[in-house]
Amino acid sequence: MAEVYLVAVLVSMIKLKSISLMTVDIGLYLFFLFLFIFLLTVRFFNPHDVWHKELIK
Amino acid sequence: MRTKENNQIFCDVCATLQSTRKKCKICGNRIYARKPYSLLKTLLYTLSAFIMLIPANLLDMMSSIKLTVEYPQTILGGIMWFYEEGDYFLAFIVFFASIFIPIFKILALIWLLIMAKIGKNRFSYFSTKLYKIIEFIGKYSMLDIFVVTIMTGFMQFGNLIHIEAGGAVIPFALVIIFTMLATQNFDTKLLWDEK
Ligand SMILES: [Zn+2]
Repeated sequence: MAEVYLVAVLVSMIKLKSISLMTVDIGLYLFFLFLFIFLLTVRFFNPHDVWHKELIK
Repeated sequence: MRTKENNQIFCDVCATLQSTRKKCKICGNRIYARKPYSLLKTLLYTLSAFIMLIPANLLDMMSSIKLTVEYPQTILGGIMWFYEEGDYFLAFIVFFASIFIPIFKILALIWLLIMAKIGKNRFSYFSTKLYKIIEFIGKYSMLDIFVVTIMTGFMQFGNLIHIEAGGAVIPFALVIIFTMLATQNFDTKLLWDEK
């Protein structure tokens, strides 16, 4: 769901830009970083590993 | 999964074959050959989603209040706003997430219900693919809800300007939740059962 939130942030930024002046700060870049690491975590996590210790390499 | 030969059921949580019918001996997960009341639950959630689709599109998604003058905006209004601003790409994304996906999901669920009722046929492969697609794209319709959340959070400057969530937010969130529940409760194995 985090990547959907990213798209929502970008859409809101464009909407807000029409109302007032807006600058991008470090938080947005940190959010990109979080998203990237989060996706990696989701990608490599396999819930079946909890039950099969002998299969983990 | 139940193999017809030895009557064993596959546990989705710990990935082992189990011979009991109620609880997995290893992880305690409830196991069943087919999801219980799968078609009934899917049908009811799909119908609920369809009913909620009407207020979601007719009521306002959010309204900006500038100096006590209210500017309400429906889902379609928001898309038209992007279109008029010249942001065709964003207009397309919001249209895709907020209008196309919910309607496509409801139609796909109706198709899946009919196919599951018939049992294994020449569309079974296609239907399974379709299920995978609606399971994946479902979360993208949360986009508009997130946008409203962010906008209302940012724009709170009292009477000068502030943004309020409209009446369509809850019906629209319900459309998404109901279609997600319908997808979750649908059992793809029913598409492959010989009737
Ligand atoms: Zn188990």
